[in-house]
Amino acid sequence: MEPNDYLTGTPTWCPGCGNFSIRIALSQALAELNLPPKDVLLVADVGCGGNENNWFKTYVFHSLHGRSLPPALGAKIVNPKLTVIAQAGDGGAYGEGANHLLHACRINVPVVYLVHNNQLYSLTAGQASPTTGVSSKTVSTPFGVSEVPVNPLALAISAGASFVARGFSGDIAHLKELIKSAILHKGFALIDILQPCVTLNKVNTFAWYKERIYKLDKPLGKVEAFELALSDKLPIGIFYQESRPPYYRAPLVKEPDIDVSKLIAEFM
Amino acid sequence: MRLLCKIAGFAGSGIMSAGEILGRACSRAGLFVFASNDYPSLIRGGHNVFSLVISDAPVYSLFSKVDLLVALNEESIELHKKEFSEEHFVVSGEILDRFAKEFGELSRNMVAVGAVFGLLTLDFNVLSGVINERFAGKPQLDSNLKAAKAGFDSVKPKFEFKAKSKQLFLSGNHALALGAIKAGMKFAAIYPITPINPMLEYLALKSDCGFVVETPEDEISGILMALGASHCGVRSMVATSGAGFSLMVESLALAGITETPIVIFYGQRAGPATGMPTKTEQSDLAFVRSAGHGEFARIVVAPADVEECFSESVRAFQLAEKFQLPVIVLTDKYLNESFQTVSLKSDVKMKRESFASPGSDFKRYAFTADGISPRSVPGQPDGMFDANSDEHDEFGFSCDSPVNRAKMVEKRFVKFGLLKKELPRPVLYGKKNAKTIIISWGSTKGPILSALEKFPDVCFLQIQYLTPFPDISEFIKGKKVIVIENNKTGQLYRFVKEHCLIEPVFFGKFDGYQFTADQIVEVLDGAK
Repeated sequence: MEPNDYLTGTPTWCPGCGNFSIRIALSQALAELNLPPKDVLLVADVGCGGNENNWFKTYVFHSLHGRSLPPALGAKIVNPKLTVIAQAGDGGAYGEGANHLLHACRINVPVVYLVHNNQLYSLTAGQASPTTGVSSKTVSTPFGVSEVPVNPLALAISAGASFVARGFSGDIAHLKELIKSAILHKGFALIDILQPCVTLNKVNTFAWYKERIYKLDKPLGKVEAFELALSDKLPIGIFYQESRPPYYRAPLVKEPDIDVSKLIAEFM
Repeated sequence: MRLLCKIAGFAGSGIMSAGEILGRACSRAGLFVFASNDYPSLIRGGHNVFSLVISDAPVYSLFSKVDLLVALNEESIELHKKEFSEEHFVVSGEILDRFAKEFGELSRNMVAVGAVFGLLTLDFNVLSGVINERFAGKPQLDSNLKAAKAGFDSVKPKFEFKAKSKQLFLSGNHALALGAIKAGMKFAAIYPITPINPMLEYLALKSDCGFVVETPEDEISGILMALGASHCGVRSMVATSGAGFSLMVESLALAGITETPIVIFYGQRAGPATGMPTKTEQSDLAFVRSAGHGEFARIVVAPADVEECFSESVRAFQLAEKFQLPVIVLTDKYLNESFQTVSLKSDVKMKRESFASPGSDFKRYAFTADGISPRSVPGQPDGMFDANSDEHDEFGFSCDSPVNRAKMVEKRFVKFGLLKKELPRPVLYGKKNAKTIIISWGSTKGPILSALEKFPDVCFLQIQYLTPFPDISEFIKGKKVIVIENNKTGQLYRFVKEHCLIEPVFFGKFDGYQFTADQIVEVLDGAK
């Protein structure tokens, strides 16, 4: 397969937006793993990244804001043959839909969750999100953010996620490899993708990230990974990966119907 | 012969299982039973009652006068003595105490069941068969059988019935679940809530037959998981009550615009908010008819008894898939947790709607004459499309052109044309030329039918499919119209008034209990 086999249309993101890179990295990962587009289901959120629903030539389910994980889980449970990729922004994934993330970590359905984390609500033009830094001034926090930001990686590790990674939209080759590892992982996989909002985020710019980012060589132990996630450092790569039995059911799309008369007779 | 038996005591003394065993044994012995439970939102303590109307003719509702009281504690006699009929009989005190001492306190309820079975002049072997099945492999089987026999032998036969052939005995919850299984349901996501918990538990128990039952983190996740499963082509469902449905509403709109089939089982209870979570009400009809932002097509069906719970549950899945829309099966606590002697039938021809054979340029949302577009599912070559929560074009791509928008909205409602032809018509009970007609929906059917035996000049129109609303003008022409509902504001009444441009009379009840047959009689006497 070629990356273009998964793509359609012309995205309308701002020039220089990290969403372009994430789209390319995902299409390259799918192509290198040779997954037929008919067997790929992309579940999109609502937001700038969520608009990608129009620009992939796979099966797509465009869900509600914060709610890309539940349909992804439902789909994968009934048809395990599908490669299911759920995507969301930091608002959807760590705000509106944070509860779904917590439980997806527990249930371990093999779904890849790509979170486009630009530390702002961007499609609504720049309000503070759950990952905006303390004291940041935005249109919704003119006097500065007072809340401690959500730490996605520490959250996922503590909730029992079996694959936790961080990527950077500015390094497509690295991100592509992360996505491939996540797809091949037998269980739920979170990749928090750092992505500068070139239009609205004047703090966490491309240059800001470039200065701080470095690559991890290999996954760490659980405690070590948790400590690193809580630190001020910004490594990218797989923080933590464990082998835990994934949720699995025989593909229900093929199961024969049940003879209900036997069940009814039990009420005689 | 017909009598009302109440088994009463404090919560945790085995009242529900005693009631179910007695009801099943009576049905198996060839009698007709209608049974309903009443309990507070507690696990231990508080007053619990299981009421059974036992008869040699079909029964549809509870009555007010108690003929046979099983008082598992002294307080129960005090609480229920004002309901006693003239020739009532009480099982309590010394008998229960003596055998409870002999066979263990946990067997007290079985002593009572045995005594009632003896009073009803029935064959003990039938009862012991039911107890054997119920407690098979459990340590209390032996003591329960002995306790029931001791209770049975301690009384003299008092009531005699003309038994018919044995029949099924099950609850609305069981019938809804069996209907779903018959319909080929493969995925259920259910967050626990009264009154649908027995449905969740039954489905979970039977899930090894080949379907999935998930308990999601909340109802929002539940309906969205079910929509994801449905997107992949399996028949999917959720079950909930008002509190949970309120959380599902945004996703209901998503099912509407993406035209993803889903069946939502909704057991109403007394609201608002937490309200009285273990009591019944029919107060969410107006809510479900219009729930969800924006305008989209849906079906609302209200089964009215246990048999309809089965038949309409099956139909709900067929309709959801054929018309690619959400179907809400609206019941209430009274019906979900009522048990009836029934035979289960379905006239629905089970047929999977075939999925499209997509070619190049497949239009998942193609404009068609009947509004139903070809549907593909993930895994099908060339069928890739976007099930898009944004307004979309025929391919599924986001599109906000006014021309496309108007056509898409129309397309999603055009379905109603074909649908109206396919839905069962409202059913008229009683004489067509009666001067007065009662209109109602859902579980008020039982008490109304019971009461009608005394009013030959009153007929009853049951509206089962409430959205899309049927044309009922032929039924009501020239008649006095009375609408009876288990709510305060007359949610069907208001609709009938607006839809038919008439001034019906409305009677509501909203104390947490469904009407008894006697209360409907009072209503009709007063309305003369």
